[in-house]
Amino acid sequence: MPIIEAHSLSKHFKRFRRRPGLVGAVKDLWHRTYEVVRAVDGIDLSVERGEIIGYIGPNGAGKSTTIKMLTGILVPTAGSLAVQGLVPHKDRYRHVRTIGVVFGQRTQLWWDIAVIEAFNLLQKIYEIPRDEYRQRLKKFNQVLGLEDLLNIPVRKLSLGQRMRCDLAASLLHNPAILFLDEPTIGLDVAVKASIRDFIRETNRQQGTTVILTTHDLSDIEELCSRVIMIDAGKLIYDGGLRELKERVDIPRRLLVETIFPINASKMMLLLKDYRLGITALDPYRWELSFSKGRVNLPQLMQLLLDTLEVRDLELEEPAIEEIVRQIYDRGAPGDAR
Amino acid sequence: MKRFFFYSQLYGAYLANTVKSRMAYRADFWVGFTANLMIQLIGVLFITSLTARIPQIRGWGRHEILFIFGIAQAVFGLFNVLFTNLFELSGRYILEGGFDRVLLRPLGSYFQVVTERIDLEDLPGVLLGLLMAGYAAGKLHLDPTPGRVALVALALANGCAIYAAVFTALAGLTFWFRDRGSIASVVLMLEGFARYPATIFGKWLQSVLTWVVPFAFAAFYPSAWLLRKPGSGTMVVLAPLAALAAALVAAAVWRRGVRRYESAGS
Ligand SMILES: Nc1ncnc2c1ncn2[C@@H]1O[C@H](COP(=O)(O)OP(=O)(O)OP(=O)(O)O)[C@@H](O)[C@H]1O
Ligand SMILES: [Mg+2]
Repeated sequence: MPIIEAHSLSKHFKRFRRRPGLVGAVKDLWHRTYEVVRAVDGIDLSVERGEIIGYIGPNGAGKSTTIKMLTGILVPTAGSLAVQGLVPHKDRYRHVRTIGVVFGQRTQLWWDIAVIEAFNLLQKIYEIPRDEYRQRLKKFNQVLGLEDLLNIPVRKLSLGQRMRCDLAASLLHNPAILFLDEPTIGLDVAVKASIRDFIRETNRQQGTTVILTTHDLSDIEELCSRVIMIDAGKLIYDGGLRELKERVDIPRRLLVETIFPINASKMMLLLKDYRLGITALDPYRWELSFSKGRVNLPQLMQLLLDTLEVRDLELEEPAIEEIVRQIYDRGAPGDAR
Repeated sequence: MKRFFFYSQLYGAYLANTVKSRMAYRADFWVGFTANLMIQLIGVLFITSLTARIPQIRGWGRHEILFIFGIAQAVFGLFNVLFTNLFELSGRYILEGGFDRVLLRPLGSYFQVVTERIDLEDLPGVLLGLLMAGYAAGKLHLDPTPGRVALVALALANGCAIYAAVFTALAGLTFWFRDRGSIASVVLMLEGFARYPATIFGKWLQSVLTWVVPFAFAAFYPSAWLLRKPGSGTMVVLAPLAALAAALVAAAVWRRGVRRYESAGS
């Protein structure tokens, strides 16, 4: 049986539309006009125990709103939802005991108290057996390097420090499902890596189901076997990451910076055997764009390094927004799995 | 019963944390404490000098007025100590989305909001109020018999419940109207009136304070009974009922409001 099951799940917000200017403001006092924002608009979800799901989509697509319904914060406008057989907002106490939640944008811990005090309070709230609590805390301290943070008030932590603490806090009661809303936003490469490792290990050892939203494709590549994509409140893709990549022509860009200026005709001639888009940003900097799979990248890079005096090479991964646009251009949003 | 024990224990744990975090900024705490003491003292000075000039107002003697004022101040002070976070409910919790965190814990949402902050800096209000009432009682030859002391304690608890219920219901309106507690500030003015004998005001205001926003039951009616005022017997019996009615309204507002909670787009 799926651990999460949703049918035509929707959340609509009524948003007050301000009219411009002073006259508009006075009119608004008498009669307000509202517009309905269909933040989530009839999505079907079915998640199996132990999956790690990448939930992606452009800004304002409805990802956070979905997470808030799945965690019981928001009451859905329409549709049905069951998480481990419970309706989240109706059976809130029982439901939240079995989930862990991290919002990258906002801490779940108490602002004014030290990290360790917050953990101790959570131990009491969730009634975690003492031994179990101590064991888990010790492990988290090691893996996430919390040792030096424990006595600092949450308010004084840096973003990366706070995220590690939030992640540990969300797993103290060993939840069956972990919801992560942009857990890697604004973090440096090292912290990102340690957080990903931790998520992967938790999933492997405890069988924790993970739902993860992100704008960073590498999070998805490293963690998720399945991707669900949403745009303007509607599901537009649900399936494997590999299939997604095969389906869309993911555009990549290679930025080349040379020590000496190069003229366009020389560049064209050099790269004539490759199917590339070539743009000169200036005589020292070139942008080569191509489809993944159509160009032998190591060979291309070797050629550049051999023939030009290269100062720098930079490979740009496509943004999620670009993939969404591609899926749209190809149509067929309906054949999600 | 087990549930009650569980919540009491947690309340203790939250309280310990508040004290600890406040004490980490000892200087701030004392500044707040002193400022509060000053405000309360000014109030006391005002009422004592006022009553010194006008020894009688509509049948209420100087010390009777002081007694009522003292009890009212203590009740409101106690409410401020224990329920101060209700004033953050509209802004920080409902409009700014801090309520998300509350809903993610397997605890009562109201319990969490109230417990997350306790305002020890408001303690001087309670102490000063009680001192003032004690002083006035002495002048009136009301000895502190166990019965009277118990009644004052009950009045404190009952009054605190009335204030909590009214301000909970008002703050809960933010679930419907996206307003940062401007209704609450109007009602806060009524609290000022509730520190005087309600009968010195016109019939209209007296009825409002009794039947609409029942602040008169918080301090005035119980005090009038202690002062042996004729006809105060019925009203003192009604006091717990007023608290109960207000609490029922507040609970209904809360329960419906939480279902309407819309979080905040981040
Ligand atoms: N509490 C709210 N009240 C009104 N509208 C909201 C609220 N929360 C979200 N919205 C609207 O719903 C839509 C979806 O927002 P949501 O936060 O779910 O997007 P998202 O996919 O998480 O985007 P992002 O990547 O920027 O975090 C947006 O148009 C947003 O303005
Ligand atoms: Mg979001």
